[in-house]
Amino acid sequence: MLNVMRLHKRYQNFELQCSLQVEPGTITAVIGANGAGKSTLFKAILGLISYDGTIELFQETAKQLNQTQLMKIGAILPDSGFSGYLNVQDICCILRRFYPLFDQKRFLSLCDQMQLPRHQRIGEFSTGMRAKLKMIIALTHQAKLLILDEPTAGLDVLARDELLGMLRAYMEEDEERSILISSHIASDLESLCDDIYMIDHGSIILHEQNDVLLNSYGLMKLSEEQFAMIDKTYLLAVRKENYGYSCLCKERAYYMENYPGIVIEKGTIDHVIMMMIRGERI
Amino acid sequence: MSGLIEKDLRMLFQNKKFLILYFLLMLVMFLNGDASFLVFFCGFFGLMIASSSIGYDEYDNGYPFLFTLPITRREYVKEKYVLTFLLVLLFWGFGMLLSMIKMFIDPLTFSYQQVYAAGIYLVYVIFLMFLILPIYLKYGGEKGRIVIILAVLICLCPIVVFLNFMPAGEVNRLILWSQQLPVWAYIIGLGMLWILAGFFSYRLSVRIMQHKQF
Repeated sequence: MLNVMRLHKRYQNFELQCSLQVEPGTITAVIGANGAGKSTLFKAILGLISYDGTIELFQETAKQLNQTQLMKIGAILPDSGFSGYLNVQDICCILRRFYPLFDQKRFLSLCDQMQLPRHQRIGEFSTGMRAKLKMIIALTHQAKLLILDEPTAGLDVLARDELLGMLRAYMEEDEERSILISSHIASDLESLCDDIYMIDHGSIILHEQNDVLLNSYGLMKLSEEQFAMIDKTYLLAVRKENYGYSCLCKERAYYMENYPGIVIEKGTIDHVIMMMIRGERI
Repeated sequence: MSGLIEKDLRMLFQNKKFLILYFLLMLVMFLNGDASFLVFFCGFFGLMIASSSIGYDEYDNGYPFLFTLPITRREYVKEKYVLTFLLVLLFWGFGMLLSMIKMFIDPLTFSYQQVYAAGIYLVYVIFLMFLILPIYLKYGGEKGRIVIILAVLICLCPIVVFLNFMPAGEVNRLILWSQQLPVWAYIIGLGMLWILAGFFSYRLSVRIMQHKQF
């Protein structure tokens, strides 16, 4: 579906270099701290910025996407959308002209369901309402690939749950659809995505399947003595703490079996982010 | 392109207060002003309204999302030229209608020169479109206005200097010579200039948008 090969983008104080794949029928997450390069990566994929390297989208390679490619994409960008002077009804009429497969009935039905007033300017919407509208716009023209840059940013847990439910329903409709999503909220991604790319200072530092990460990864809390004697083969990152060391490992079962006295928690995306960025990578 | 035109028309005509003000101004000019200036003003207003759509697109960081919709940058530029041309024509036509009504009410104000002038104003406003659109696309709505003023000053300066330093006799000779040119020479000359300006304006605008990064 999407193949990013040796993408390179340089700014004055930042450089992005990465490769990434999104397979059909999968939800791929990109996680990382602020300024890591997630938005730059997404903008390069959408042809909004120039770059070196190759991005293959729907088996076509182009620095700026053509109309056919864009018809199959639904995008959400964090600080960009339709003009605030327009209302839902205006947007419906506009989308009808852009997308031959636009489902007007479903669009309006979802807007009513999400309690988005049809004749109020979207500039007067709350953050949550705008986020819902962006999601509805992305989901109602039969897109094959959703590219979502922090679609749930600034939303409360109820609104996030609604949006994630919409994404699950979208994937269930067609097994060939894919999603590339970035988020700071790990709990959203843990229940949603199939694989995760972690990006830090413009480079991919980890790529793992979500179920492997949640089932096999672990966070160990070790004293100095325990850290000295432990097998470090499966450690990914280490961080000095007051009590000794915290260690991210990718074989939790191995350590639980061989070192029954140690404290080891189940791995989460938050643990991975903290340790891979703040800790010392091994 | 129809999606872009629909978007722009819906945005532009949201501002109903501004349109009411425009119509009131037209009414005042209709009652008190010169008919040919009314036509020029209407056409020019159409140009300003249409080119403000670029400012609306840029407003609140709208450009990145806009280019995730199924449009190319070339199509975006084409739409701006088409929209501006159509709105200039529409408002100029409205101005023509008002001036015809004025001349009908007061036949003494009618003259063929005014009708010719109205046609020339349309050509002139379209020529302004060729100059203004690339500047707005490059610099945006706010900065674009300042750049246009600077550009006008920069273009006028050499002409003013040239006219001041040329001997008065030479200037009069030039004016007499230009008055002796046949009408077809003016039409062909200005027509070619107009076509070339349009061609280069469009090409420049496409290039500006293709190199823009969001």
